Parts: sequence; C-alpha cells; structure tokens
Amino acid sequence: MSLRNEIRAALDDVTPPAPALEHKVETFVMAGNRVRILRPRRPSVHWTRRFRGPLSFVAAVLVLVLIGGLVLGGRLLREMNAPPQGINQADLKRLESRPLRTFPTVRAGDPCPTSPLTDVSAHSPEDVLLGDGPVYSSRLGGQSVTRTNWGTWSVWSVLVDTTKASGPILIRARDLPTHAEVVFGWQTAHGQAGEGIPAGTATGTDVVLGETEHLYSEAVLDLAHPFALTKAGDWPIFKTFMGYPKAATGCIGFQIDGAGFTELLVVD
Amino acid sequence: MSELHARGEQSFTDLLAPLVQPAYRLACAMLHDAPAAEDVVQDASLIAWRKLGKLHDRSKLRAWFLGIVANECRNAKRRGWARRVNLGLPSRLSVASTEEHSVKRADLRRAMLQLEHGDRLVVVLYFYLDMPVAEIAAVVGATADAARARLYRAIHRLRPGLAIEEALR
Repeated sequence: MSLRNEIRAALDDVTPPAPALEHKVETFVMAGNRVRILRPRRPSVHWTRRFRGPLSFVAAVLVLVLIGGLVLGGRLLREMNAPPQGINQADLKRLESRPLRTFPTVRAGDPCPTSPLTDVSAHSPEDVLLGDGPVYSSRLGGQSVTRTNWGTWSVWSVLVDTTKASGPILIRARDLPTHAEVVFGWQTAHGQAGEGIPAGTATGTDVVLGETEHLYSEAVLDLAHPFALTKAGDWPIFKTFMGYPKAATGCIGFQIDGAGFTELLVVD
Repeated sequence: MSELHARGEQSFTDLLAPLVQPAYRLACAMLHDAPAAEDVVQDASLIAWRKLGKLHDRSKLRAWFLGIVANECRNAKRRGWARRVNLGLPSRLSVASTEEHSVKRADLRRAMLQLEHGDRLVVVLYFYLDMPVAEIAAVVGATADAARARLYRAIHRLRPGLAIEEALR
C-alpha cells in the first residue's frame, strides 16, 4: 500500500462523516453576524498569558479543590437524596415550584433551534456564548463526551452574569425532539467546586467510567463556589456533568430558574 | 464586505459552503477529534466570513480559508477551555479512541501527531486533501520550494527508509 493510501486510511478512521455540517456552519456564521455586542472587546492579548504568572498557585489551589471535591463527592453519595449542601433550601423549593415552560417544538430531523450567540468577550475566555443571559452556555461536546449503555454523558459549561443573578440557580432540561429528560450526575466528576450540584430525585443509575452515577432530574449552581479557574473579573464558570439517554438527539432545551428570572436556553 | 453580508446566506452557500467538508477533513486530520474539528470549522468559517472583504483574489479562497482552519487547529487547545479542563475523564474512552481498530493505522496517526504542526499540515494537505505543492505553499504562507522541503522532511520523519519518489506516488 502506498504511503498516500496508508495516510488516507489512518485519517479516515478519525474523520467520521458530517453530512449536515454545511448547514450547521452556515447557521453558526449567520447567527454570528448578528451577535449583539454587550461590551467593547478587550485588547487581543491571549487570556492564558495572564495565567502564566500565577499558574503554579492555581495548580496548587486546584489540587486542594480536587481533594475537597472527593471528600464532598463521597459525602453526597452517602446522602444520595439529601438536598444539596450549602444551598438555601427555601430558595431552592421556590425555584422547584415553578412549572416547566413550553420549549420550542422540534420534530425529528429538524435543525436544532439553538439560542442566539452573545458576545461576552469582556467577561469570558470565550468570545461568544449561547443565550440571552444571565446564564450563557458553551456548545456541547468535546473530549469529555462519554457513551455508556444508557446514553451519552458530557460536560456542559456555563457562565453566569452575577450582576443579574444571585442565590441558587436551578437547571432542568429536556431533549427537544424526543422529550427525554436530561439528567445530571456528580460522582464521575468527583464533585469539584464549580460543578452543577445534582438535586431533585434520583431516577436511576448508570455506570460511567467505572463510577456508579445516580441520575438526578435537576442541577443547582451555587454562585458562591464557581469553577476554580474562573479568572478574577470574569463571570463565574460552572461545569455540569449531564447525560441523556440513547434515544435522545442532543438538541437540548434548558429551563434555568433564578431569583427574578426564568431563562430558556437551547443548545445542540 | 458589507455588500457580501447583504447577500447573506446565498453568498455563504456560494463561497464557503463548498469548502466546509475539506476544512472538516483537514481539522479532523490535524486534531484527531471530530467534535473539536467541527468547532474549529465553525469558528474558522465565522472568522473567514468576517474577513472575506480583505481577500482580493478569489482564486485563492480555498488556500486562504484552509490557512485559517489550520491556524484555528493550532489554537484549538488554547481556546478550548470548556473541554480542556475535562474533569479528569480519561481520553482513552473518547469516541475517537474507541474506533481505533487497526494498530498499524493507529501507529501512523501517532507518528503524525508527533510531527511539528507545520510538518503535519503539509502532509495532510498533500496526501489527504490532494492539494498541489503550490497551493500548499499558499496555505502555509511559504514559497513552493519551502513547502516542498517541509513535505520531504515530514515524509522522512514518518518513513525514514522510504525514497521520496516512492512516497510521493
């Protein structure tokens, strides 16, 4: 076999077909052209440069956070259906009492009506994120996607505009075409600070990367404990470990409830 | 630029849409991570769409666009904050890894990943996207001779015992 054919065969293995990519890209580009500018852009110095100096300090903090997260995660497993620690339970109950609103209707095969992009470059390491705020979402996917016998697990990252949100933030979600409930986990992620904390009722279990994961119907963001690598001055980052069953499509509608707002966010 | 934007979706379909699949193949070949490759193509398309007015010679559109894609691939790890801090999930269980059935092909991919970015880029453009050396030079921003020298050097690193003439077939 020629070197050309060898290289083609090797690279074809990591290039799965993407038949609808042109449409997705076009939708993304056209949405990007209508991005609303909330703040002037910062100078174009790359954000990681600012981390270089205190990187060792951040690494040390991260180790401590991981250790703390392991301890907290173990405790949560023991108290599986106990309400999330550190969250004002009265506030949480009020948010849980809000009914789910009507998500956009999406039929099988329809393009996912993802939320508009917003320029958040003044507050975030990412230039544009999905949503109108106060909670903004990254796109799903990436290296953390893990498939199990039950379904697909992924890490979902959001930023919260804390000038417009306070107190606990409740997240509930559905796969739009199939109406399947999206669930939230914790154990695999070792309960790091900045994790969305699973709440509500555990409806079942799945084994993810060797860890038994309880499937919770809700997640709560504790604004007092954002992700450790949130840069000073940026909006806090939260990373939630979420999953959806095999039958679901990954076009997901999130209802996000906080004090004084309810936000619907659609992410593909 | 404003004229192009006024034409909106139609212009995108005419200009960039035919280049999306080659860009995706390039990004997959550079990153070995299909979801990340899709992200790169989307980001590169948005950049290209916004800078399209600065491209005066439309015959160089493909090379110009793939150059942006290649640059985005190089920056992907730095920009991918949402997935880089991946909660410690082992990459061996990623979707792409589970598809590695052939040890030989996996070995070749590993060898390509060990090439320096620019060397890997010319190998992918030449062997996987079947681009001529002159156009590869436009993508990497070098002369044709420099691009050819880079290609030969990369081939030598991938297959030290293989004659260049044989490798280029």
